[in-house]
Amino acid sequence: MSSDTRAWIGTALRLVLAGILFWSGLAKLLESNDARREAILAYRVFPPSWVDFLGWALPALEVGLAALLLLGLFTRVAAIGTALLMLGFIVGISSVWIRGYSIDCGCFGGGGNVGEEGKAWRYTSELLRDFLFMGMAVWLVAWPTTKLALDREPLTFDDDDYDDTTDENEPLEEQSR
Amino acid sequence: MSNTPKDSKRSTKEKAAAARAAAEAEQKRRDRRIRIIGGAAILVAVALIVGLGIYGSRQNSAASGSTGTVADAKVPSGVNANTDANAWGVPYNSVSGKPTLAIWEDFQCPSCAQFEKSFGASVTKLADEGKVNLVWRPTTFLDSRFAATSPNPNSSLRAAMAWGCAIDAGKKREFHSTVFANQPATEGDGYSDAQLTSFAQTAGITGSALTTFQACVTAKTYNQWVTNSAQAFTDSGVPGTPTAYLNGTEVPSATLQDMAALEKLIASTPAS
Repeated sequence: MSSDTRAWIGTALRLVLAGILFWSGLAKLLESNDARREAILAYRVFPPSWVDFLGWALPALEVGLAALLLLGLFTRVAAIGTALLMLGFIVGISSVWIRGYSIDCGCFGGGGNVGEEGKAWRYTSELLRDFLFMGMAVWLVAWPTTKLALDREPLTFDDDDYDDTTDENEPLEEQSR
Repeated sequence: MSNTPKDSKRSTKEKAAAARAAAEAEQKRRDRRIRIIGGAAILVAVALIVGLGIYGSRQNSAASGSTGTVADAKVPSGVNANTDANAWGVPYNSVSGKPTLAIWEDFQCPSCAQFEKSFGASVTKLADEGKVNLVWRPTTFLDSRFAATSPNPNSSLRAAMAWGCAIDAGKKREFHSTVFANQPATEGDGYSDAQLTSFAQTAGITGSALTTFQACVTAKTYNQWVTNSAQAFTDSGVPGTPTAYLNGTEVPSATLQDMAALEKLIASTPAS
């Protein structure tokens, strides 16, 4: 695959992930405190004293990551954050499933306990979705150089943080080789 | 060394390269500045959302005038005191040497009505057979969700207060099941005062007992009891309703929705 293609794929992944994170973060931020509280408690992971903080911090983190990804700013850092967040959701959902609880993941708002009907497919589809999102983020961790990104415009060279394989056509590179 | 044409060409080339390198360095600095400013702005925005959000929700809960727990609140007859592990709960029965199953419920919660419909009789039967101590624990967390939209605001609180009055009339179980059986199809529509009175009648409270019931309801006798119970629900971080605890350990919903599994779990659990 040409590095140009890879950079454009990266841009697409960045924008899709930004959209998903922005949507999920905003949906949670616009909910009532009680709804956020219920969604977090349903996981039976965090003590009640953490709930108020997490109820704001998690969606704010999602919106912050969405902004970084949208702008292509600190793409690798944002992608690592996103991948870890998705891994956290995967662990969280698996753990409630294994422990025998039936909840709405509250991924895009909502959440809390729900009936047992359709539990297996609900959890399976949520996990598959989060694995997909994590895979998209991992791609960006591996190849954080993308088009239409503040990280890249104007082009930077010899920066250890960033993949510079897209610079092959630059005259300077040709010369220096 | 003389300046051969080759050398001069190289030096021109080198100069151009140096100029380009300088421009690149400048570009890089500018680039870095954009990144740092942008990153810092996003970080500040995230911190602001979290800080203002938490501040706002603290103000909110202070303004909602939650009266908190009053330890010596008047409670319906037979209801657990503050010191009990299931404080403010309504014991259905009492047998020694058996575990205690405590179920948190909100009278407006559809899953609770569903649970009562599907398993209520089986659970009370287990208690009747002396296999378990059953305790109902009322909460009102759904009231805030429907505060603005419900035609009957505070229905969870009002239904639980009325239940307290029905408990005094000796119709603990009957009133409890009647309310759930008559839960409105739309969550949040709640119960009118007239409905609560008719539930009392359906539960078998008549004559002078009904007059006493109505006076008890009108006086909001058990407002603080229900508030205490709801506060215990919040403080202990119960994840919604219905949620059941067997000797303080949560019963997984898969078990709670499977009578055979629940009975097995109860049988293998020692006394509290």
